[in-house]
Amino acid sequence: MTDNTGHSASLIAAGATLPAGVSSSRAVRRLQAAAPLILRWAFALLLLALLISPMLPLIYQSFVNRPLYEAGKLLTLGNFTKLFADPSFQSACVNTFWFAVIGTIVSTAVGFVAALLLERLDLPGRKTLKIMFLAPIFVSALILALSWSMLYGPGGFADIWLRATLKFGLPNLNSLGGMAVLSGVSSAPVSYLLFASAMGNIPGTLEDAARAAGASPMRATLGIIVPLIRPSLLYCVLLNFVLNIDQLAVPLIIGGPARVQVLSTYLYDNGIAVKSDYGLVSAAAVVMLIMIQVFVVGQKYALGDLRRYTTVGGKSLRRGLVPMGRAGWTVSALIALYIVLTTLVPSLFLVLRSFSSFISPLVPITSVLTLDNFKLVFGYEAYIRSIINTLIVSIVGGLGATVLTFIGGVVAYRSPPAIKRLVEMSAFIPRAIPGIVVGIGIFYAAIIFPGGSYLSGTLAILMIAFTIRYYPTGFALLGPSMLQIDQDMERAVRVAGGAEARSIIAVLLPLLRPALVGCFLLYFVSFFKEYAAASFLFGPNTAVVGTTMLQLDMMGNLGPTAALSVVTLVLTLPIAIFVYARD
Amino acid sequence: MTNAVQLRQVSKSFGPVTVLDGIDLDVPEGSFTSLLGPSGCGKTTLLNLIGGLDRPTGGEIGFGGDLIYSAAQAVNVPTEKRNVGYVFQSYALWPHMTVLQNVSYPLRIRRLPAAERNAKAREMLDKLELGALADRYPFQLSGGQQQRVAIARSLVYQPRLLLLDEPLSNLDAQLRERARAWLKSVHESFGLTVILVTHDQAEALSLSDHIVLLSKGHIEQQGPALEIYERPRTAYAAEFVGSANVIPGRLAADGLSVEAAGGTSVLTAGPPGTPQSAAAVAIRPQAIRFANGNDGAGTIVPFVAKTVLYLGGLYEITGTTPLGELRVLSPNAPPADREIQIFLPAEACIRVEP
Repeated sequence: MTDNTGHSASLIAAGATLPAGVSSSRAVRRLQAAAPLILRWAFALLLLALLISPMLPLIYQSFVNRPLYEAGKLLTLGNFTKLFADPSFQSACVNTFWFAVIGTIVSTAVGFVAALLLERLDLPGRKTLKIMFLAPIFVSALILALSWSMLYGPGGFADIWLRATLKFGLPNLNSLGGMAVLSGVSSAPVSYLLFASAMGNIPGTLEDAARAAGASPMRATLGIIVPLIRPSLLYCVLLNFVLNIDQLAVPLIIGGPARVQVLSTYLYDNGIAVKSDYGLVSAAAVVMLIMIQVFVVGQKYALGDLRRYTTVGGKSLRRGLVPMGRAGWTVSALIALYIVLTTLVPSLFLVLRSFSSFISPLVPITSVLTLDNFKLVFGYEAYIRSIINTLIVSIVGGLGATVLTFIGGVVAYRSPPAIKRLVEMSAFIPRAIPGIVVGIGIFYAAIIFPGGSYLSGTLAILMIAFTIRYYPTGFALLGPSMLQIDQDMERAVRVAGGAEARSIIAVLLPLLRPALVGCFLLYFVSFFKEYAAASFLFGPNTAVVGTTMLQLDMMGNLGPTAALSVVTLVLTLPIAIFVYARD
Repeated sequence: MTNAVQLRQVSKSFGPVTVLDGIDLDVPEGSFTSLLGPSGCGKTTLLNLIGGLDRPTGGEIGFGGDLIYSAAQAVNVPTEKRNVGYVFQSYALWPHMTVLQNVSYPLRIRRLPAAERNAKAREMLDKLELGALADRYPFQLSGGQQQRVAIARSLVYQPRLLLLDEPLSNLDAQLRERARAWLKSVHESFGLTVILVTHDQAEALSLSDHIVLLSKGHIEQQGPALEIYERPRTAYAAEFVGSANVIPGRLAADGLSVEAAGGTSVLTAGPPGTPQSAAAVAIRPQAIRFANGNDGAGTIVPFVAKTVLYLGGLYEITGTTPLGELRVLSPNAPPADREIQIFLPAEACIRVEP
């Protein structure tokens, strides 16, 4: 080895040659070196284009005076003036506000208390109660709304039974308060998971230190854990606002009969109307986008990184629970009562309803039991087709979305920081687009983008819309798993002589398999349940279960609706429980 | 002797942060070279540039007569075409493959028939005394075994160069000693060029024929291990390799004595330097003795012991002197709370750049 002195200035000058296989042209070498980066940028930009595609045509439409497909459009603010002057829009805004406020309070309060009780106290039957409490995430809000309306609605079974036996009925479910409470109940599990994961992120040593300093387990929980999860409260409130504004099934089914309109149902009613006013609908959608945007940006500031709390499943706490003794049975019983009233009885009632022609406390159940509802559903080609369509969309679309998520992850986490930021940012854009707006946006996009006409009315457009809608959820599930894999294992393939593609196929793919399966199942279940984004996109031959159920319910065909709900539950519930309860 | 690796003016920066700056380095064929330095000095980055896991921002890299990287010529041979072995700090064994599959996979990439690659992989496992573990999965192995498998995996395809990124740092102290001896014997029996990254000077001294000492992205000193230890060029080199006491000062009129801040001079061995230039004296703790009135050429200073640590057979004594705080390694404990005289032999006092 020579010292720092005496080196020739260049290895080329010293006679170094290009190894075999390296192109002799400098331009070719430059291009070869840049190719992987060019590919990544191309994918990242296409992903961005896909995920913002529902928004752009909408925003454009809201500022022009004629429908997108007509010539001679002029820029105008007329759509917005017209919108703000519409009294039903004004009342929808006011209703949305109260709906979101009450729903958020219910969801946050229930989620907070339940998380504290079920995650920190040593209760009898804790695990079972936890899964039961989380059940509404497995069931779509659509099904929950249907079952509540059949059971607790005016003229529902419980209402009539109470009137007959106790001489007083239930407060009217078909009201702003009723729908807000149901919406809160249906999103309480989300709040629960958020608080549970916030608790899981608190290092166990902090609590241990309090115990060592002489605090009882209960005191350590109240004095250390509760204050530390308080910052999550703000995040939870903002998240619930978004969920409530996004909510379509509950306002449609519970609020519809009482003519209580919120923004999403305003959009739905005006959007599917026969002579729909494109400008007005777009303007309303843009207002909704802006509202959601405010809360999503707020969430970002509340916690910094959005992904920290988005993975469902939550870490299980492996630390000492507060011993409860006999009081534990009382607490468990109260939680069980809540679950029975909000989830268990309504679900069972729905199942029962699907097997009967009519249910009333005044008629003996044995006289109304029948298989007619299922016969109707399975005997009518349009219904069977909607089930088959849903399966195709869920399986094919779910696979496609999983592949897209995987590529997105590879491009994000195996690339320079600029690309990573772009992909991550793109991946979370649809979080700020309500499902119904995704539907309208894609509908408009198919009108104005070239080639879009081939897509409209096909199952492919549903798959695209669903993929956009759930991409943030899938990405949030897959991303962290990908980050956990030590990149050295792929580099080891490279060093051993394998190209980049080989390192991904030989190492990343097999190691990521459990996460990919989870990601696919999540897409499957989500696509199966989705109805909001589909309501503007399905054609005569491409109805899905969700849209069919909505139509049947609107027509008052409760039996077949219940039967379709049961079919949905049978096909999705086991998978959903497998995905969410794996830990 | 030809050079297995040549680096010319290699630099690497991440945005505005320069991690490596103008590195010139030649690694002789068949040598065991250590890249030594504290964390953050850029040693692992340098290894990654050589292995192709990272891309330099400037300069040239050659392997033998082949140009592997050149910023000016837009040459960058990808990692997989460089034919190097690389042992990661985490070992990076593929957890879904058995030991045999791990070791034979590089041969599969090279499209060897199954029978041949299994035979070669088994042969390599046997050579490294891992034959019995062939069907185990990585998680069933101890840390030491994992390290051997990682080395087997990177040797099986006969790379032109073996790169090791702190391969011993995940082993406990006892195992590390054994692994060190084993690594040395592997190097000797395979006759391979090895480049090792380490922050452990004892590891570098015991394993390598050449040491490249890095500091803040540049080469502080490089040369044979013995030379680095016995003739450190700078205060940093003296402190990092063999942890010397360093006394900063100024060269006296005789060009040999260094006058410390307090006015006391320390006599060093030649050659004489320019009087009045800034200089420092490095002296190893074990070279300092208690004075006995019969000491020869050197410097005697008063010493008050402050802390005494028994290390087993030796005492590490830290005390104050007019030269500042000094560390002494001695077989005898000093008398408590009393000033004694210590002797700094001139031949052990190395003059270094401050």
